[in-house]
Parts: sequence; C-alpha cells; structure tokens
Amino acid sequence: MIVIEDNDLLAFRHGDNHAMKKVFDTYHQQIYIYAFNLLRDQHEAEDVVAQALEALWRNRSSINNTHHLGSYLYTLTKHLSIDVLRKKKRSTTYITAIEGNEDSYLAEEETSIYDRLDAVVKATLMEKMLEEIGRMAPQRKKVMQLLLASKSVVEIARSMRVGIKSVYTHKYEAFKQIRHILRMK
Amino acid sequence: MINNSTIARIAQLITKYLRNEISAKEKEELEKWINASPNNRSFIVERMKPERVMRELEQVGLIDTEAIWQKVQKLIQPHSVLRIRTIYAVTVAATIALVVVKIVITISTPKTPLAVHSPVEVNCPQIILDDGRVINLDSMNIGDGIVCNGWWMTKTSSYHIAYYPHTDLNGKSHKKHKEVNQLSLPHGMIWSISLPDGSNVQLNAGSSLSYDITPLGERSHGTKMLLEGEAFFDIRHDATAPCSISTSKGTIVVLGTRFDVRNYRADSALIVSLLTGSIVISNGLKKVELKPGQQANIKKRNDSIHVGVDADTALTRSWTFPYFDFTHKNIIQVMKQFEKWYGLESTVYRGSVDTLTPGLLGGGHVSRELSLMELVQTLQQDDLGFSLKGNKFIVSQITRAVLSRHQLIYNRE
Repeated sequence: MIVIEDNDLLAFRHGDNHAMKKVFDTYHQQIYIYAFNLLRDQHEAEDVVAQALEALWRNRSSINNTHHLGSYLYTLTKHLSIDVLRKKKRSTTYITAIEGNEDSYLAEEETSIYDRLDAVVKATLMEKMLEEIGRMAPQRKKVMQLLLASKSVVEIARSMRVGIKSVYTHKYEAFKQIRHILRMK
Repeated sequence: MINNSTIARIAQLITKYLRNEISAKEKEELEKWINASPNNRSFIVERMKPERVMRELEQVGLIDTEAIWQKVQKLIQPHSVLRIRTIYAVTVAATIALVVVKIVITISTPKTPLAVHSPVEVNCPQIILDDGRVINLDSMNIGDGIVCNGWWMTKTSSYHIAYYPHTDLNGKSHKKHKEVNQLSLPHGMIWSISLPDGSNVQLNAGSSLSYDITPLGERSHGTKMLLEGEAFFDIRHDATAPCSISTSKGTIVVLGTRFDVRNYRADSALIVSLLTGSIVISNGLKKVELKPGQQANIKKRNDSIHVGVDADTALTRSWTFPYFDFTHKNIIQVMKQFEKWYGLESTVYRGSVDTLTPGLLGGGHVSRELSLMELVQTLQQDDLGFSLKGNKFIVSQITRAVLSRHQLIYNRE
C-alpha cells in the first residue's frame, strides 16, 4: 500500500514529477473503480480519471494535506462522471441516483441508507482486493487476473500451459486468501 | 438511526479494517454498530461475501494502468504530441487565450460586496468574493480554484463548487474571521455548493446566495446566509451552531436539516418547505416552528405566517432534478417552467387553452440540458404544435386541416 508522506506532498505541491507519479500510483485505482461503477464503461472511466488527475496537477500548489488531496480527487471524479452521464442522457429520462448524498437526484427517502454506505465501501473493497491480487505469487496472480478477465478455467489452463486441476487449485487458494481478508468477526 | 455522518464514520472504519489500520477501540466501535441492528449485520455479511466481491471485481475488470497514465500525460503535456509547426500556432493561441482570460477576471473593478437584497441580474454564473473580485464561473476550468483568505474555492464540475481550507506552501493559513462570498446565477442553470462544514446548497436559476465561509468552516457560533430566489438547503446538523437564512420577507433558523426556500422578487410570497428535521421561521415579529412535510407562507403585504401541509414534497424538490417534471401540471404551468428556464418572455396560445392537453410531453420528463431548438423538437405532438417566434413560445392546437400546413411551416424553419 503506497502512502503519501508529508515530504511527498510538499514535493508534489512544488511540481515534482516523481511525486506526481506517486500520487498517481496511490489513487488511480480507487478513483477508476469509483468512476467505473458510475459509468460502466472502461474508456469513459479512464478519461474521467485522467481529467481528475490533470486537474489535480494543475492545482497542485493549492493542495493542503493528503486528506484534502484524496477528497478533492474523489469529488472531482464523482462530478466529472455525473457530467458525462448527464450529457449522455440529454434527451431522455432523468438520471437515477447512483449514490445518495447531498447531490442525490432522488429524494433521500427513496434511496436506501445502506445503498449509500455500500457505494462508499465498494471502492475501497475493490482497491484492497486488487492490491491483494497484485501481491499474490505469480501463478496464482495470473490465474486470478485471467479469471477477472472472464476467462474460463479451460481457457486459463490452455494459455498458461498447465493442467485444469492446477488452475482449480490456484483459484481455490486465491479465494481462500481473499476470504481471509473479508472475514468479519 | 443512520444519517450522513454515521455513513461516513462506518465507511471509514471498514476502510481502516480492510487496510489493517484499525485500532482496538475503533474495532470495538465498528462491532458495536454491526450488532446494533439486524439490518446492520446483514448489510455487512452481504457486503463482504467473497462471491459478490469477486463478481464486482470481474465487472470492473483489469485496470489498464498504463493506458490511464498515458491519458494523464497527454492532458498534462499535450504539445509533445503535435508537430513543430502546429506547436507554434497552439502555443501562441494558448498564450493569447491565457492573457484574455486573465484580463476578463481582473478587469471588474473591486466593488463592495452586494447585499443580496438588491436585485442581481447576471448573464453568467458568478461569485463575488469578500474583497469585491467578481469571478466568472464559466471561464474557469473544471478543477481550477481561487484562493481567498485561507479558503480555496474550486469548480469541481460544470455546476458545482466546493470550499477547502487552504494553507500556502509554508503551511500558513491566511484565514480572516469573515469571508463573505455571493453566488449569483442567470436563468437556465442550477449550481450546487459544498460548504466546508459538510452542508450543501442547490441554488436555482435567477437566484443569489450570500454566505460567510469562515464561520461555516468552523460552525462555532452560528452562521448566516442571505437568499434571493430559490435554494434547497441540506445543512449539516450541529446543535451548538444554528444556521440562519435571511430573505426579504422572513428568516429561517435551522440546526441541521433539509428544506427548500423560495423567495423570488416576482413571487407574491416567501415559501419554505421542510423535508426533514425542524426549522424556525420568523417574519421579524412572530416565530413559527415547522415540522417535516409542512410548508410556511409569508405574503408580501400581509406579514402573517401561514403554515400548511406541503402536499407533494417531490414536486417541491423537482426543480433540483436535471429534468422538467410535468406530472400534475396543466399546459400553462408547463410552459411557465420553460419560459423561466430559457429566459423567454411569454407563451402565445392558439386554440382554447383548456382544450390543449400536455399529453405525455417527452414522457413526462424532459431533460433540462436540452437547447431551446432541441426542446421545441422534442415537444411536438400530433395534436399540439410548438414553435418559437422572437422571444416567445407559440403553442397551437392542431386540427387535421391545419396539420399539413403546420408541418410545412415547421419544416421551413
């Protein structure tokens, strides 16, 4: 888990490119997941993320602290995504509230409290999972990545040149690892 | 009872748990919440189901980090992608544009911040800062901001601004105890403001809102706002720091709740509609407390406060939605909405008005984002013709004989 330190932030505010890369590495997955959940389109989500990061870079000298940085990125990502949705649905019906908070387009009563909590937690969950997968042993990681790309066990076995039983074992172990993280006592 | 701050807190605790950053005390707090109700428990159980998480992960797919980095680079350094000759032209144009924009922003001579009670007719969304600078919000790029006395005001989307506390590069804050900003909107747009205390205000077209940022940021001893026009308030709850909204006809005091205030100069009364919580309305002489679902009325000449039931809270809020709502409205009410939004003078009706039915205009919902021409096209019905003449709408009843002539006229436009 990459963490932005105070001196990283200071360097970032002064325009240091390495610091920018670090900020990118820290945040781009989270906000991509956030944007993707709203837009359901890979390219649109990528574009929104790039715009949010560029705006952050452009205004780097105004960023106060890491909490500010994160919340600024999230707010930008959310509003840019909503902008995209509004432009897409221009001539048809209204946009249903994707997440309920002060910007909800539905009355509060209509959006379940748990839906809102869900939206907020989802992004972190996804990020944590992807991070965990990134840390897995190479074979196991490869199996997981191909599974996430909707490949079948047979296809995976073929492309990795291993037996199907092997793929199942990797899958089982990977799920066990993930289940371990998700357990709530 | 769950509210916004609970959601934020629980989400934060879950995040910390997932990142193994949770303290023993925080873990206890989270477990307490989980066990507080069966709904909480089932939410957590469902949310953390591995199969569900995997399914969602699959939907997200793999994140193309390299592609996103390339896109970021392209936006940050666009010139590196162009040929040398084009670079020169683009650089020159960009420099000129930069200079022009700079002039536009600073050329407005500083004036004293307007008291919002004076009429503010603007033709672009603007913010007047405490020092008198007038900022044209249209000329700002998304993500850009202005620093004003320890606050950073940033445009986060085409219709939204947010405030963050600001320190300079040495970590010093230059906050003044008073920083009054005024947001004014022309017709045809709704903006929302995220205030530093977590409150949110949606401002309707043709309205103005004045607010003092520093007290709002600290919410230490109450804060004041001035409104002309219409706004929907979602004020964060703070029992120790009431928030008051003043209008020309009356004042509303709240501790934290959601309500709509409508007081346009053209209106015959101030109307306040309460959705949740409780608010106190005063006209300077009397005070009345409102309960959720109630609506208060203060007329112009007669100063008494009338309290009634808001029969349709969804309707009260419908202006905050990105579409026009035609349910329960007759044709005149529908056209008035359009007149107001597009800044047109009036509507001319051909054919007797009560025989004209709105029908299912656009399916009952028409997007506010449509241009005037797109709107006219969307509205056309078999029995109802819509067109524009100068600064007016024309709505005509179409009989069979007229139909072909109307179509001919329409096609010619």
